[in-house]
Amino acid sequence: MTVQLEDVTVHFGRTCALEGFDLSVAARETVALLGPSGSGKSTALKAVAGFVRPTRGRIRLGGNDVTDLPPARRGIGVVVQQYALFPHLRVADNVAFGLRAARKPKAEVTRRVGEMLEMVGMASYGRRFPRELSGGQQQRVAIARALAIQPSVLLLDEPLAALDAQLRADMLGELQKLRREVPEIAIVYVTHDQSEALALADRIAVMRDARLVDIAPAAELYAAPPSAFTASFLGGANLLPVAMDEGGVTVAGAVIPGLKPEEGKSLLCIRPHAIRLEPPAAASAAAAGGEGVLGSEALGGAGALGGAELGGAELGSEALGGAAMGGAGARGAVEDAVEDAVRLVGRVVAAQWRGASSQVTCLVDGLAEVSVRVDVPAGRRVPEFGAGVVMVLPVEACSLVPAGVG
Amino acid sequence: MAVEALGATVVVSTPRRRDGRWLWVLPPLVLIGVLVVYPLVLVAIESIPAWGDVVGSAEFRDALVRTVQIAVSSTVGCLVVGTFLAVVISFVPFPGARVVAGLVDTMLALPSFLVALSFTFIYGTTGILRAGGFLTSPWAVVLAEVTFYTPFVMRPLLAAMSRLPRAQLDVAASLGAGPWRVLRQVVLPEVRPALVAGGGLTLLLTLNEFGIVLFLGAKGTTTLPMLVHTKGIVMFDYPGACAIAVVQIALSLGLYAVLRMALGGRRARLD
Repeated sequence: MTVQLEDVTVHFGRTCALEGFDLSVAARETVALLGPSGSGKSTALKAVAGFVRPTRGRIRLGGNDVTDLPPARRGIGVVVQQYALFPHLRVADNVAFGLRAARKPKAEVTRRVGEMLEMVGMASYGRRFPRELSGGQQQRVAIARALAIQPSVLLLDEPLAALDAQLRADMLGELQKLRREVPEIAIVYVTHDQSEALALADRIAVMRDARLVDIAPAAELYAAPPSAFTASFLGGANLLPVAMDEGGVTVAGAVIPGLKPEEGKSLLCIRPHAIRLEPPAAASAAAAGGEGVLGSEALGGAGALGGAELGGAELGSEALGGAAMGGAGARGAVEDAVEDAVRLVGRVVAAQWRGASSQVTCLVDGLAEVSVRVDVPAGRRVPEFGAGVVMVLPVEACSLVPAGVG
Repeated sequence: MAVEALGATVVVSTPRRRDGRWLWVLPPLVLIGVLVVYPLVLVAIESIPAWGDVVGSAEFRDALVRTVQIAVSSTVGCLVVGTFLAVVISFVPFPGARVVAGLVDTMLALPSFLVALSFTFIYGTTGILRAGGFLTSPWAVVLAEVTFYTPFVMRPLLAAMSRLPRAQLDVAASLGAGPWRVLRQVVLPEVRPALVAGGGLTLLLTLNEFGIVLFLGAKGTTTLPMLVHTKGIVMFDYPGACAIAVVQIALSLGLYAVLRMALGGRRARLD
């Protein structure tokens, strides 16, 4: 293991910034520390770099205990959000700073600086001062400066947070490229942006209130979040309370076909993009024996219906009640035997257009305090405010998570 | 059309508004003219007959050299001590750093002769240390001036250092730079304007320092302001005193001009 933190705890006065933090990062691995601000992720990074001294716990680099070593003797590359380039030094001298501190021969410094600037595509900017560069260019120089000393560990503290959206996307690509060019390095990447974490990290450590909540390979964490916090922070999943009995798991009275009840897991987790919206009339048609696929296609054509007055929802659910068996229908939900999906009836309470998709917030009849967010891809009709809808939750996208913290 | 109309209204309205404002420049100009420039011109006129005698005299040349020596030594001393203290207060975490910084500010409020007076208690002939002739040597003056003027260097330095981003120092350290290298290659270059401002001001003030030199009463230490005092007040050689005063003024204004140029045309900011 290249980086190892054992039970690292950091207190600033009476505030606890990091509590019993364990983490190990192997060479060639990228681990993202993901969490809201104040979750301790930056503190963990600063502890590795040596900028803060842990109150308790040990930090090892390549097997050696470095807990009491000053940052200068750890040989770690650090890139911070505000770049922290030395304003009085030219770009080339900024990159050379670490090499000169290590008293490398002049020829080697020149060669290495050239290589680094070449790698980040800033070769022609060596004579400039940092203030003459844009934010993205400054961040490239900061990365070149950190990698010039050939560290075995690279720490990135919100490196893209100060850039605007377009540049952030470009730089994300650059970082992926960089990852391939220096594959042997262990990278710890601190961010509050889940898309950066998903794009770059092999494993993601989710943090909250100075503690590690979950750590797992990125895909695993996304597909089957171990906790409610991770589910909602990583990908903004919907969390619906479920009831469990011998028959299986039910949400708002509807049985989720094929989902086994698990001890202590009382929330249904489903991603907004996995849910499909249908107008109430189409749902009743589907429930009456029509195909689910047909129902979803009908959504576009049945726009007028979706936009119908408030009464439409009640009408729809009444029609459903008639079609489905007994109690379930009365609670405003139906199960669909055809395509293994749960159908929940509700109404739209908000809709946000996001360009490539729209996010529609719905209330489920029978689940008073939970709202469900649904991503509707561009091209599909977005139901109007107040319209009655049927949310189709495919079972393969559903998983159960424990309620509460952690 | 619209743009032209807009331009026309601007042209019409500006002079009228400027008329009123322009008058405000008069009171300060009149005040400065009557209270500062006019007396200075009188001094300059009065000095004309004495120029030859004064400039040729060994007394004057010695005083000039001594003044510059003391001012430069004191300024260098202030810069060294002030930088050291500012670095310690800013970057070495010790309890009470704020108290020390507050004390430094308080020092700025005290009169300079107080330092000289306190020196007589420590180094004087009846003082605690009884350091013989130390008090009458120029070094006593330098030491007193360093003691008194160091806060003038520290204040701008402390302000500049508190504005240094913490991340920059952290990153410098992570790149393998020890504290000494960080200080030399990151901190000092970035607080250079504050160093220039503080040092320049100290040089200006020590060139003109009178109270400390007078209170220490060092016989072998005659500076230009002392000479002006001796000639004008003690010996009633008024034209001679004026001639030296003119030199003093030229020295100060020249230094101030250099200082302003060094700070890129901006005013020497103290804080």
